[in-house]
Amino acid sequence: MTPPTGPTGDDIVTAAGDLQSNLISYKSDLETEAYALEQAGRVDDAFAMQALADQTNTAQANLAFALQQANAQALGQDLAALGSGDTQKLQTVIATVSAQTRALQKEEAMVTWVVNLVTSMVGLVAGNSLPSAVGELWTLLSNKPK
Amino acid sequence: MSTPVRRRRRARVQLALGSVALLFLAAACGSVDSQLDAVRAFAQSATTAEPTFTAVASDFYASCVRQYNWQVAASSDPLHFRSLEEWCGEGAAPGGSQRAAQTCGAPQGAGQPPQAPCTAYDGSQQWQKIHAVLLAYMHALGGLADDEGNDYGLPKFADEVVALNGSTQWLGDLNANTGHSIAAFGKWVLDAKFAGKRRAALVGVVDQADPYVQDLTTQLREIAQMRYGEALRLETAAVDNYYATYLPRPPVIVPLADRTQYVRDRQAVAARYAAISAYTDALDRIAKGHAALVGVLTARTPGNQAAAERLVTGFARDVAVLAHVYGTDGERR
Repeated sequence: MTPPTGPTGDDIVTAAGDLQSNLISYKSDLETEAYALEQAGRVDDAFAMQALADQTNTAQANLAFALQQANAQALGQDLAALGSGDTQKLQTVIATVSAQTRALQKEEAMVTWVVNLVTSMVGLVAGNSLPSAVGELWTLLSNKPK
Repeated sequence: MSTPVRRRRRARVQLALGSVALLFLAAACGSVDSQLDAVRAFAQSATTAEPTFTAVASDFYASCVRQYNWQVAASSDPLHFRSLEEWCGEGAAPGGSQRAAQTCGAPQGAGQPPQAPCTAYDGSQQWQKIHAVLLAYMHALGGLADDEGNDYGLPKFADEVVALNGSTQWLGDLNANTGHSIAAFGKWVLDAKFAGKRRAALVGVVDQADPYVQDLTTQLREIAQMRYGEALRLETAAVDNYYATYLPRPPVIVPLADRTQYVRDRQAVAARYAAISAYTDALDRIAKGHAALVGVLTARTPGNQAAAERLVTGFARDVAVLAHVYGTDGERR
């Protein structure tokens, strides 16, 4: 036998949303009625009606607050699930990508260093000013990419 | 056959084989370049999306603050209404003190203290963190695909060789133009070598990350539709509630200015509600763009390059819609 299914969280939120709309509409009717009573000179009745409208408004505000809290809680839970799942795994991938990028940049820097080293040696053979050529070579040798 | 003739023939064969090899190398290099271009374009879309995605996530909290303001304004006893902090959580709202958002909503294990409830402020911050990870991943792909215009010091090398040859003539008639052509060729060969390495690294990464990207974007789409959608519904109800109290009662005719203002206030929320689809479309394009990249790089599905380019164009359109609604395009709303 299939167990009876109750309302889902979404059903409850939808019903509460409908209830909030009804309360707003009901409050509006009460205030219209209070205004009509006041115009008719029935001030006491108008006050009583307005008090009822205010109570309805308070009920509406409390419901809005509860819905707001429930929605924020649901968002927090959804995001926490994502944060501990896919997001964490993606962060691991980012670390891998960064490491690979660094490795490639290092390799390129090494190629550049070798080319610069050879260039400097060629410069030495070509008869560039000896102190500056030796200085350049020394700088290069002491700045080998790590 | 005489030896000089044989030598000449061998030289011709070597030249022909060398040319064919160069053609293959050029073709391979061109193809890898366009694959890396697709990755760079994909990464570039992350930069475009950053401010708008932040605006969407921030608006979850901002919507709560607006909702609160409408509720306070409609209250018969505004002085004793709940505080903004209680309603939306502490944030950067005027008058509110700044505090770090708490990580909330994670399931608690046995023996652990219960967590404080999540507020709209916490949710907004957590949402931005998830965006940051997704966009950081896209940026990282771009970093791996980018060669940063390295010339490997080859032009200087060519200059030195030409200078040396000027005095020694070891390399015969070598002028500066030839020297630089050789340097350019060397750079091209090195670029091709590194482009191949970048592509090889990217293949492994995008293939591994694709399930997470697909799942993450799907979940974020649902979150926007359900949670942010609900926040905007609550804001709309708060607008209606306020005007239900303060618009004049019949038979007094509602002044045009009030009616216009009511319509404007509702439209402002409606525009944000409509922007949810631009956000979900942008996420959808990230998901499809990423899947297309997997196809482009692994060559499992030929023709994906064009699809990836179309997705990037569509993505820019979605982001432009979001930027307009949330004012991140620099225009006043």
